[in-house]
Amino acid sequence: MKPYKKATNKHLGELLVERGVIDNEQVGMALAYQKEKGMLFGEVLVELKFATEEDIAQALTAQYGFPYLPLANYEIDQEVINAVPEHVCRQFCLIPIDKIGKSLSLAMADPLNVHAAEDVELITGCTVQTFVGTASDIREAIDKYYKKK
Amino acid sequence: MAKVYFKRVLLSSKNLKNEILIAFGLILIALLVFLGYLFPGVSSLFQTKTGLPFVAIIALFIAVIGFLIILHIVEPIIRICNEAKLIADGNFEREIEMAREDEIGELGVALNQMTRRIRDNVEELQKFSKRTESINAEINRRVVILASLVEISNLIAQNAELELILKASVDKCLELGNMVLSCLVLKNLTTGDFKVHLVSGPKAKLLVEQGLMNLSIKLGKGVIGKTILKQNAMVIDQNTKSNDEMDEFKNLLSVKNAILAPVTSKGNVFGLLMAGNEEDNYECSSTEKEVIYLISKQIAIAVNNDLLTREIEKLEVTDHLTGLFNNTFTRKRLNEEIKRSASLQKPCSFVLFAIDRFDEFTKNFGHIAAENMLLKVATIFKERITTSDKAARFGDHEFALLLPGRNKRESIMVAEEIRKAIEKNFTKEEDDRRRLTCTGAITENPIDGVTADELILRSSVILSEAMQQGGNRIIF
Repeated sequence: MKPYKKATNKHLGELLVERGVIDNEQVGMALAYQKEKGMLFGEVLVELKFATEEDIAQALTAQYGFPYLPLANYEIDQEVINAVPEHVCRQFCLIPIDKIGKSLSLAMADPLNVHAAEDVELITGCTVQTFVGTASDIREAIDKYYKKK
Repeated sequence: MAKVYFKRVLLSSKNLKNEILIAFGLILIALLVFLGYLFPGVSSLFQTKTGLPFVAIIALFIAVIGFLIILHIVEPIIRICNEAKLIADGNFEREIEMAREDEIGELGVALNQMTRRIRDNVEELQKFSKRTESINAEINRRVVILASLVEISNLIAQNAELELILKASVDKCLELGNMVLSCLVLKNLTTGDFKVHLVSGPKAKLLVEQGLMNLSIKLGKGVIGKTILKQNAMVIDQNTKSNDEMDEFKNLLSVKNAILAPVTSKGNVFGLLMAGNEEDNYECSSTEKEVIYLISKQIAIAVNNDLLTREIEKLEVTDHLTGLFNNTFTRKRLNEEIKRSASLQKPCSFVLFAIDRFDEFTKNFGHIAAENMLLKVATIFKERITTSDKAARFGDHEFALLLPGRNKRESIMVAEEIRKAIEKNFTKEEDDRRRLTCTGAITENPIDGVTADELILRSSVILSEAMQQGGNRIIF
């Protein structure tokens, strides 16, 4: 098993500061809030209204070239859904969207979560193509598709 | 024999009377011989016909008087002698009647006084002996009680099972004051309810059938509920004023008298010890009350001990031998790490290791060698993990790793490194039975489960499969 190829350690906070979405003070506040509540950094920024989910998705797209995928208009095949267990999707905030041969398209709220992508590759035995989705879109999609099972 | 014969020749006798008669006879003869020699004229008198009867009468008269006097002296002595024999045989009720003022009379009085004194002394001795007997019985009883208390103390000192100590304590109450029932009420430490915990005695079975064990006890209500709150023992006997609550209590346990002692320690109430009997006119002695109180104290110590032991077990986080975390702590910690990882959208891995063919090793080289080996393995674990990881001794020959934030790929690397290090560590051993290896099974949250129990169970399953296939590998 090879290490995830798109691995990068750049923090989302730095990325958003570079793009001028938030400032360093807000990063500090968000980190303190995260420490208290134990939420994901992106979620904290949205919760504190420092940035919108779209801001984050766009920043990730621009920086790393992950394409942004608005899930609301997307129909996912049940066979694809079955490839990844629900609790894995919920914990890592991701959802599989398509599978062609040994290539699995994955929508992730945090495409920098290398662990998650590696785990999905391990479970499915496929190579993962990462798309960016907003956390709320992905949760909604999980609720929608995994309920059907 | 010779001595008896000699006594006869000497005309001596055991009989005082005979002795005096003989002595008197000899003196008389000597006197006559002496008179015959001194006054030959007198002896001629005997030769006259008229003088003879006269002399004979006088001689007889004198002899009779002498005999009577002797009799008067000797008879009381013989009587005293016979009486003395009877007294010597133990008949102290006899009195010697002796209306005389001479030495013999005094002897009789002295003898009577002596008899009376002896009689008084004997009576006093008998009284003493009776008292000694009752004191002995009391001492015996106390020794038995003391032995009971010591027995309970020993059980506590030996760290015996709590139930065993409680059973022994409740049974010991029955050895006291004809008790027919003893009963222990204990507090359920999780719910805080008081329930009958143990009943002992001939009637126990019947009372249990009547539902005594399910009796609801409310603090401060009824005899039981009130006594639990008190710090002192309570007695119900013939001197206790009866009221409705008492009657209810007596009916409940079907006893007439009872001693109740709360089981308390440092102000904490644990329960109530009760012992009862069915005797009429029973009066509880202070010893009985005190013993029941002491037994209740012993129960309190045992309960407290048990509580503390369990607290310590809960507080203990490390394994005594290796210093690694213990099973209980690891399970708790794994759950926490899973929750923390999940909130950060991170994985959390758990690796369960087992030493291959450990039982065989122990059988061949003994427990001490096995413990040394486990220590070496533990050191390898300690050296190869980072500060955020946790290593634990999970079972007898099982180790575990908590790897928060690590997914399977990373965990496999860590586990492989440890497996290789253990293998390398023991390859130098000459005896190939000492060349130990280990097998590791990796599970990850969320892939293999969402709780610690799920991960541990899954790890155990795949671990035993891998070990059956030869071991010395990492499976995931």
